Amino acid sequence: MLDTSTYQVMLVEDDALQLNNLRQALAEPNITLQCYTSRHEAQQAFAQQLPDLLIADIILGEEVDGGFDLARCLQRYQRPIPIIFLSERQSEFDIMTGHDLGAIDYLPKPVSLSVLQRKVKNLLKLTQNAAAQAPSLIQHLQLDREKLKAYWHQQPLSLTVTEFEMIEQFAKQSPGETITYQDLQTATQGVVERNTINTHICRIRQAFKHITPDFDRIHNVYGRGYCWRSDD
Amino acid sequence: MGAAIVGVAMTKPTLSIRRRFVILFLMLSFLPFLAYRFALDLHQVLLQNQADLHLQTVQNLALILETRPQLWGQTSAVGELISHIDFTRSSIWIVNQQGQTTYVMGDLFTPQQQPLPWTAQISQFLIKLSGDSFTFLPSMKPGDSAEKFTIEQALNGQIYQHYRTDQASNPISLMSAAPIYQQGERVGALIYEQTFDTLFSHTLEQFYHLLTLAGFLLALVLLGILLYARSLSLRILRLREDVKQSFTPYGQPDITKLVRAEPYEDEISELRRAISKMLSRLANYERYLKQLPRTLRHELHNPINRLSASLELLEQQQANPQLMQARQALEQLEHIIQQLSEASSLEQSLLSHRRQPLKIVSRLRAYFDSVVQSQPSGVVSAQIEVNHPQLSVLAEGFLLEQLLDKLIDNALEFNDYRCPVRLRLIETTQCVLIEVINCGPLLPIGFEQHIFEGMVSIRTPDKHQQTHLGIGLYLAKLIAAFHQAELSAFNSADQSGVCVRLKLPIFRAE
Repeated sequence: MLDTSTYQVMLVEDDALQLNNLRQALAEPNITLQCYTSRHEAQQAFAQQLPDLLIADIILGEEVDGGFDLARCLQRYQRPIPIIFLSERQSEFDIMTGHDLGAIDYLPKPVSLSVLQRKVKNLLKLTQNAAAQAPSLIQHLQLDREKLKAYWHQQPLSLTVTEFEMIEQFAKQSPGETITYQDLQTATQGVVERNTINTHICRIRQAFKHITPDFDRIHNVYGRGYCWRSDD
Repeated sequence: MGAAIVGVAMTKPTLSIRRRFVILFLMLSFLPFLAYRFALDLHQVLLQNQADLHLQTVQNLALILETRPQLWGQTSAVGELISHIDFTRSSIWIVNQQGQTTYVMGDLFTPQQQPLPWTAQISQFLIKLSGDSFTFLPSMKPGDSAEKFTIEQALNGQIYQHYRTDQASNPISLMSAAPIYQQGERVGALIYEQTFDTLFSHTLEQFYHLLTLAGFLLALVLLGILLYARSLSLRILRLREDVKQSFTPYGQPDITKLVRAEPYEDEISELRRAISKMLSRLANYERYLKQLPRTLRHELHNPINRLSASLELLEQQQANPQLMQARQALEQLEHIIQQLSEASSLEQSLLSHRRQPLKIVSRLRAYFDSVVQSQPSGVVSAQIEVNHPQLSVLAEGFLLEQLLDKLIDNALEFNDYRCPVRLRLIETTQCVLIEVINCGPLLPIGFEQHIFEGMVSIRTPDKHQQTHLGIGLYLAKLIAAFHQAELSAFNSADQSGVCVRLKLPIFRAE
């Protein structure tokens, strides 16, 4: 059963041409798009109506952290509104900051419009998730597909949706089996690519290390991908 | 560059400035000994001269008595002749042919009135320390035997000189004797005896005084040289340490240590300022170079994003092979931009990692297996040569694998397939060596370490499928620096290809 509700999606992008492309890509009958080119306009719109989903660039005009400031403003309304950041800034610090500000995903620019469409639909539950929830084959790792949350030793891991999708691939395979670059690329709808995949894996490892500092289970498999190794 | 980043430096046996200073000081330390030896020799010459003078005096007196016999009875005339003689510490005797003393003048045993000044006493003491200051004196005989022997010699017609000594063989007086003739016939002997201290004291006092003064001056000069050399050496060492610490473990310039003030304004402080200025300019340049890819990426991202989205929308509307080509070109462009900023991203990422004890053998065995399996049979071979399979290194395993990925990528890229790419893990006493060896073009001599510099490609790869920016080995160098490991490259001994070696210290739990 498809959802027939109408959703408010706010798009904030300082580049008018890119904003127009995003608007075209996300145009759906049951999505009402609110498009803004500055943080100030978007914040004023929050006073009228809060969106169901915020998609924002981080650098907004002269404001290098405009998107983060907007997310902070949204936090003040104390509503669990999902945020997707779109940015070419891919440092660990930026991803961490975005995550702390409630970003459910952090997509690298240039973003694939089809990927963004799929992400938005999944988040707004416009499509039913065909994949059945597979149990984790990795000890101490639990996945909550509904909430897009992963738990390690019963503690939540700080991961974006993209990273959750990546770790889901590890959980589907028995320890020791190789998760190829292609698996990860497919699972994330092409968000991670061969040249950026390592940054995401490093982020995932760091998330595990926050809970178990001596974590060293994800190993490199030369030329093919990664594997999860249980303790020797 | 940083502590243990790269390279087998050309090590020549060097003599440090401090060691040179020590050698110079040791050489200068011989000066006092030489001066001492010189003083002893001079002392000896002075003594000898005085003794000769003494002998001449007695000869002259004997000659005068022979040629002017009338003086025998003229005391005042004799007094004029011998007025320069100090009779408080010397005496003159005349002995007849039978050995009987017929005339005596003066007193040997009057106490000395004035002691030597302290400046002279120091030198006298030091001269006496040598122990052989008087051994050169001829004919030293103790007490009465000296007197008897000397008189006998003179009565036999010989001019003779003799030192009278005490029981400890120290000279106490000098006796010079000469025969006295009257009308060609020997009638007796004239003996002139003078106490040793008065004999030499007047001449030697000045000598001793001068010697002490020279000694003090020499000591002062040596002390000055020592202090100055030490100060110079310490300042040079401090400058060297500051220059060494002016690079972070990742090889970035950091001039905070260098800008501290020198105690004096001289060439060393100028050198410090010049190095500091040079490093500051280098740091600025490096900042600019590092900022460039980010700025470039930021500036390029808007047009690329527009292009990407527009292309995608066009692709949804129509299928056109030109669009596919445009998409491929765009992806290539994105890849280049991504590579450009990969190094700075890695540097940032390294800050959040920490090293922990890692069982290297099992980890690399699995990794090597995965590399061998990833390639067609015979392309890669792995060797593990260790005696202790449980040995550990301080490392971040995943990053270490990333480093090896870069080395293997590089080896495969330049491999000419005449031999397999060899992966080796070797245990030595202090460290483990991980080697990646490939057959293929050699590194130009002298440029072996340059391949670890960013944007450098000094060999032409056999195939050029991807954009080659020379970033891979630079990233490997950054990860090696994080591990405090040495990364070096050299042509293999048989000149068949290149070996890249990572040297990691073995971790031993306390």
